[in-house]
Amino acid sequence: MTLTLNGLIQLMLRATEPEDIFGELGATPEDALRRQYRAMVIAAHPDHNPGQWAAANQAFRQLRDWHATAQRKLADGTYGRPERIRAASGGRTYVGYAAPITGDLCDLFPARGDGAPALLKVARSPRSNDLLAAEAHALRRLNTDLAGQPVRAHFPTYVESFLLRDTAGSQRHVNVLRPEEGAYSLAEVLRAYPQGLHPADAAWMFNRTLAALGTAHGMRIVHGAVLPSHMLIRPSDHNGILIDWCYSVAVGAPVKAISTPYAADYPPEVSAKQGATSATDLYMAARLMVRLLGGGAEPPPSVPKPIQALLRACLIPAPARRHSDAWQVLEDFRAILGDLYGPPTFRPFRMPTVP
Amino acid sequence: MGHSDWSDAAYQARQNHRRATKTTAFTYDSAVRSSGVVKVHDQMNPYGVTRESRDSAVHPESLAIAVIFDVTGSMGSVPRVMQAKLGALMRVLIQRGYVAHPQVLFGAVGDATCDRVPLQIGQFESGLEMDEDLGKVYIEGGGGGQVFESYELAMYFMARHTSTDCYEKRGHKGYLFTIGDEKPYASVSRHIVHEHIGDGLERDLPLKKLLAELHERYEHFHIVPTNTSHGGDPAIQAHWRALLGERVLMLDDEAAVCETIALTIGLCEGTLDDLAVGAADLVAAGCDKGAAATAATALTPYAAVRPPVARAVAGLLPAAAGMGDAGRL
Repeated sequence: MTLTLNGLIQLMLRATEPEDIFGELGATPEDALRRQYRAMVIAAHPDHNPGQWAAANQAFRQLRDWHATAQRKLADGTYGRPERIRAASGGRTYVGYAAPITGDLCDLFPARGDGAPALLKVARSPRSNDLLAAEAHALRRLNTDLAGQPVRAHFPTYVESFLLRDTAGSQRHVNVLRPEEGAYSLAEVLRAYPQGLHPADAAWMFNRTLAALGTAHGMRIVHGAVLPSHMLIRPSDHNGILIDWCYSVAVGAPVKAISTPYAADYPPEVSAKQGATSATDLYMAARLMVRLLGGGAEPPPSVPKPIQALLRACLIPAPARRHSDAWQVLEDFRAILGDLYGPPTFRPFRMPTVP
Repeated sequence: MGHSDWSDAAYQARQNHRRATKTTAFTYDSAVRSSGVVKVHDQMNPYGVTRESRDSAVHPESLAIAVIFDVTGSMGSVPRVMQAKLGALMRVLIQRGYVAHPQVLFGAVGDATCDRVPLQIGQFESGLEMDEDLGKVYIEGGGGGQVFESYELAMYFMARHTSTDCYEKRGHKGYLFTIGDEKPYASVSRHIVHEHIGDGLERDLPLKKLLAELHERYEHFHIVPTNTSHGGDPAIQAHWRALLGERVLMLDDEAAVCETIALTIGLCEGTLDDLAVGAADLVAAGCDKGAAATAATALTPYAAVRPPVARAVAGLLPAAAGMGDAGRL
């Protein structure tokens, strides 16, 4: 059946995506698109539509735009792939095609918006909307108050928040974040090194965690979930980024939720719903460091005694007796490292390549 | 509850009828006064009940809004103002797109230590029944020399005896407006709760704890009319401020209560980002210019510190596979 001008106009009126116009493109999509487009251009050509010059011209212009969109999607590799998520916020439209990464409370959709990669962090239940709002609140403050300072590098980049209605009718809170390229979570590191790391490798990771915590605590923010999956490290520049601020609270307020797979890593005041403080975060950071060093509940005996003693002081169950100053712990830790290994040197850290 | 629609025309017709027949909207109050038997109207009795705000086919996205006023002493005028301006409040909320499906509950508090009817709580209603609930309020009008009222009892009821689809299904907080010119007691007395609501508490519940619980589910504002007997008292204002911060709204004229509620909801829902625009909306809906300006003034301090609201945007999002809120403490 040959396409008429009228048929083409109808087709474009109903279309929301270029796939609606050009259809499936088969094994050689570039050629197929070229053929389709050429046939449609002929249908819309003013010479073939005497007396409908204006309509034909307008249809041609629209067709040209659709063609450009189709070419862009082919180049991105997204032509014909179903959209997983789409959100139009202000002038920006975020679109994601990849399956979401599943977190405890949220689904993370890799997407693009305004030509830049973005992570759309979506509350799985509207009941967690308050936690996403808490993250937005904390990150907004951290991003603005720390702008231009070196410590800013230890925190993720927050773009914006909105509510998005899902197909079941729930309004779910979305935080838009920038993805951290070339970074691994300490959960991934622990999976790659199940026996633990050399103390000198674990050392810089612990240092970055402490610097992030010291900065946040200075702004009266408790992270509330310093866990392997929430600390990213970048081997290339030895940066560390403390992510997932959903559990964060103001100093003195109780933590509202925990990450259940890590329930055993929380200090007692969290499940008792007592106020969280800087000491709460330090307990969890020390627990994380023990894991990095290859320990479980206790640091392994191979770890130098002064490091063991420092970690134990962060793991005292009573929060009032525990270390509570992240900067002080960082300073003490640096002094211990200096005594043990001499002045700091850059020790390359490699993640095994995934086959 | 809350299955009928608010009909502006029906409300107007009822008001016209009342005017023509010279009857009062507060039929129960008149009945109590003429009979001399003082007790809470059966349908306003908080004892042993839970008030529910539910979605329905007609109202798929209900939003719970509770308005609880002090009915003692000089504050007795507030329910009358509410009644007269209810129409304008609903018009602004619905027609200006602030809220698509409001469900409003009315309640009244007195002083549980000396009043005969210290707590009256209606149902969440979408339609004309909310006007009827107002009719069932007994206006205590007494009020002793003390500067306390049992607001905490009403807050306790809202925290523990309401169930709202807006929060339970959508994580969207409802609204609670308490209105009054006196202070709440520092804790909820287990004896008073037992007597008037029927719960057995092990010990008294401190107000701060109760508020934390309440604010998980409700956006709570307290309106202090400053032109009443105690409203101008700086000690009372400071007391409320310590509890609710900028969510204490100082209102120069209690006649502007409805307007204040409408603007507050507009601000919190993110449908309104400019109080001047909101005030113009109110005037367009038939409110008095002065009342709209008074309401906007009362809200100015709150609007200045209000955290930014996440806007709803259009898009596509698949339904979630699981709830994933197992980690809630």
